[in-house]
Amino acid sequence: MAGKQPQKAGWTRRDFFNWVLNVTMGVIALLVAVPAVGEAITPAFAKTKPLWVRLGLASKLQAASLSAGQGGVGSVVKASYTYTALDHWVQQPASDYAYLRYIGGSCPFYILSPICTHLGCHVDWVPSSSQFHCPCHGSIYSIDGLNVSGPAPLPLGVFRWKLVNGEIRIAREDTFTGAYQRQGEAPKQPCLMVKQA
Amino acid sequence: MFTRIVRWIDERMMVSPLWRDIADHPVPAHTNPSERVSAFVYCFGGVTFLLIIAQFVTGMFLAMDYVPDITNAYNSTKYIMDHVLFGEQLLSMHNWGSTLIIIMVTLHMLRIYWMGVYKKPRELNWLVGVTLLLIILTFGFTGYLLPWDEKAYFATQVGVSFVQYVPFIGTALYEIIAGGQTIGAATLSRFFAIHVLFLPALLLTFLGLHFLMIRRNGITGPY
Repeated sequence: MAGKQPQKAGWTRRDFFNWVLNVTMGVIALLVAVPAVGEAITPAFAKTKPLWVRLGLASKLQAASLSAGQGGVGSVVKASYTYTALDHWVQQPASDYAYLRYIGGSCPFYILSPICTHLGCHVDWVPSSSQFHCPCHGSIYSIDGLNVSGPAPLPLGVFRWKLVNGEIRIAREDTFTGAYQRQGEAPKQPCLMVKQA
Repeated sequence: MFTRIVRWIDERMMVSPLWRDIADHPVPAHTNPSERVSAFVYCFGGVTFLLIIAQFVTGMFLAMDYVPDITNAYNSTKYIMDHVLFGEQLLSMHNWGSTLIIIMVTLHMLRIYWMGVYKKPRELNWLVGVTLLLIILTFGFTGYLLPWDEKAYFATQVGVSFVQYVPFIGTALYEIIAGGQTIGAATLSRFFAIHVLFLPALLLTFLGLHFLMIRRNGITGPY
């Protein structure tokens, strides 16, 4: 900024006004920038609660699993379900299925997500070999969902579940498989039954 | 550091004189509020421009989470307000900013009118300014529909119905603006396209003309 007179050394009136102007503009820019950046980075901070969806009556699913197996030992059955998916602001009906097995004991149902941990295809249950086969890249999982062969890096997801009035409800979570994700090839079956209060 | 970067660019592009021409030049003393406080009336146009920049920034970020569709426009607006970090503040800034722009642009026009700035040789810039006013009012009108709540819907219903009283072509005009016989999905996507694509392009073009003409004609006064 060229003035008429040569600039005086030190803090001049002009310097002061320039400073006030710059600070004011800076504050305004910040006021606009903070919510704008907030909008952009929201997805990184969003926390989703698990969505409890109805899988079906426990007695019917137990009977189906037992009749698929032999001698009072349950085998894997496909349990289809529908639910209302909430994708940010969009609510729409959706459907999927889970692989359910009656195992008895204190945590009688073992419910696996069908999503392959490799690239997200739905795996098929193959009763003859008691394994899950992924049709996309040939990953193979044991009946407990452990990745035994192929490119799958992790075991199948296990659904947390609870009983509400004799009905099984499973928790769809915000993970790749939509269920609780085991991180290693832990051999034990995690019991993920949620006790009702 | 900064000086070195500028010098590096200047050795290749010589942009400093351009910048001096565009932004870093002294204004006459009678228009400088730091010389005389009452000169703040000369700032109304500049303040409008700053608010327009803020509208551009807030609008771009709002568009990240907004969809112009009759089932989801309301839901996505509500999502911005309830679930997006500072989303309600961002939406409010855009909303209040639009109101402030209309206030500032009115004050700006009143100063131009009362000081007789529109007279020769500045008639063309007055015409450009009036066009800018119409563009800004259209911004407000189209933006008002976007949340797709009841107020937005019926305000637009009333606003668009005015054109039905145009002789002979009223009905056709209504259908062109609304995109059909009623205010609906076509109206919303039309208004959205106008609000975020057509009008910003027009606004920037006419703002460019406006500022070029100010530089050509200079600032009026002192009186």
